Amino acid sequence: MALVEVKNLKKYFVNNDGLLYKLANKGPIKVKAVDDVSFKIEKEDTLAVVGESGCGKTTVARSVLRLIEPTAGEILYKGRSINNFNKQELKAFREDAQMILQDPRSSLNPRFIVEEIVSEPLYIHDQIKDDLNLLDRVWELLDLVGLSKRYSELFPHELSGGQARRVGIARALALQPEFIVCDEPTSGLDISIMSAVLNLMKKLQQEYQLTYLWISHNLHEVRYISNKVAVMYLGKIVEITDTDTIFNNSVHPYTEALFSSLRGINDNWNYQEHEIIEGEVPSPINPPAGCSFHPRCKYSFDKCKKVEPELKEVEIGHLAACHLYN
Amino acid sequence: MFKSQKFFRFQKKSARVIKIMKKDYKAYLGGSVIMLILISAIFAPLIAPADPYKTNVTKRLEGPSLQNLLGTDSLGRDILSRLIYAARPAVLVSFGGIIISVIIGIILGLLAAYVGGILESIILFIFDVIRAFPPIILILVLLSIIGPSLLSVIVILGVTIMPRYGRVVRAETLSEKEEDFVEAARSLGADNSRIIFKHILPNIFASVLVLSGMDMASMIMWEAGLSFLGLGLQPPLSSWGVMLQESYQYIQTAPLMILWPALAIMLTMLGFSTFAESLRVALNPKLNQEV
Repeated sequence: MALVEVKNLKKYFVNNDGLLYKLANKGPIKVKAVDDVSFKIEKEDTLAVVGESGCGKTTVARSVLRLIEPTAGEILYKGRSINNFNKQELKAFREDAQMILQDPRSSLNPRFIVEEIVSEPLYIHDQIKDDLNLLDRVWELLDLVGLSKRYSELFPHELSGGQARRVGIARALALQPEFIVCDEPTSGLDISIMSAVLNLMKKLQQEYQLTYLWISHNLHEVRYISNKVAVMYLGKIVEITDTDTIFNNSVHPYTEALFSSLRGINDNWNYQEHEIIEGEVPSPINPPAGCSFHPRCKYSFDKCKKVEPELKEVEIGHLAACHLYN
Repeated sequence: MFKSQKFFRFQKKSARVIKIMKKDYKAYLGGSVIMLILISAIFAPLIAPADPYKTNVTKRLEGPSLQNLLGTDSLGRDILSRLIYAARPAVLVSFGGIIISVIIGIILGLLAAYVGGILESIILFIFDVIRAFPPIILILVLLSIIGPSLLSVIVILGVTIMPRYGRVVRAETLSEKEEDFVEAARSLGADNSRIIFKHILPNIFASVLVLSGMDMASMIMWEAGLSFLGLGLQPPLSSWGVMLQESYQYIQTAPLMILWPALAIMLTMLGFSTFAESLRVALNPKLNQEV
């Protein structure tokens, strides 16, 4: 049984405000942030979700933790639907599943010292029996993420980006979770700190048998950290398979274009001409008919403009949504 | 009981605030003015050199002398003593009114921002109704219904000013609750009361503090206006506002007389707002990098 299973997740943001809009009788504006996404994450796996900005990665991450309610679809955690959880079940789920937010610093309360930030989950879940031993536990957690004791008395603005990120990770680890959603955990960090954080996350995964849902747009990072990759385009998964396969034998034209940017720089640091996807991401309010990638796809033919391709198995464990392979 | 890490942390944090305020001249300035007013309010009978109600028509409208340090008013009463006694209603009205409006404002503002929906519309409607009337008319109507007394003046002033706080709290809460750290707390399983009291309130309190520092003085002025109309304090009780109203008729014969209550009001306002400002800075860790 998969640890996390997402079935046909849909999240539409609806805007039907505005008198003029109602008068024009056009019906509500729907932003299809996530449109029919399904995937599974096995225990101790890392599934990376990659894609351009605005393709719905973060919405998937927040839905998986029920921070927003999905429009349709189901999210199963250990085989149970999290959308039907009652208050106690939800609290138990919050203990098991943690999140690392995108911005390292703004995810920490500016009026809390590090000690309070790291110990907050312990207070919330009543895991503090003797308050006096609290500092030991906090120091232990800080040590785990490579920070010394003295940081426990600092405020978030006194930390560097990398240190703030480590504090965020320590907070996520405080309850010994099984599943962590990492929403671009390395964004805004410089390269050397990025790799330190990545190594830390990998070490922690091995040590504590963690399962990650890793949201990213950094392909180098994805290759290093994940063993499965889902490529998203305009709210849909267009290709999902093992990391090795996607880096070597990707089939979807969008994946190909996305990953060719990586290859261009990789060859002995000589910048090579590589495919650049033309045009812009279409608006998710008004996605193109048929395959949503067809206006930018160099292989597109008639069928692409009319029929929406389904996510189908190309080979075992390798799914893609493209008419070329059906 | 007090041997918990929570208590140590509170101790450490408040020690830090005090340490910062000790370096700030504004804290001394504001603090000493507030202390002065509080002391004269509490110990008025001990401090006042003369009976504030004793009239002496032969000595009316005199300037400062050794016997009457700040001179006498139109009925020959000692101005200094009256000034000291009048600190009592000033403190009661300004503190009481502000506390009432801050508490009601925070509760309604938080409810509006947090619950939303119909409740928010109702609360905003209440704010709008209160603000739509010119305050003086609203206060006059309410006072003539309830009847003039110190307590009713305090309550009515508090309720009239309350929408200012409600609106500020609602607006700040709306922006604060979308912050990343609030979402992080929610993903950790924090319930609404924890999010409100630990994450949102401490972060919006600065604005409320600054606003209340400014409103303290306007409370005193409102009380003065109401007393002038006979709806505030009843004679022979006195307040700075009443003294201001009494003395402006004699501004040409005894110009110094109006100066004293005006100075007292100005000093109070200055004291409250500088102290509030200093507290605001000390409470915000971002504004004190080098402690």
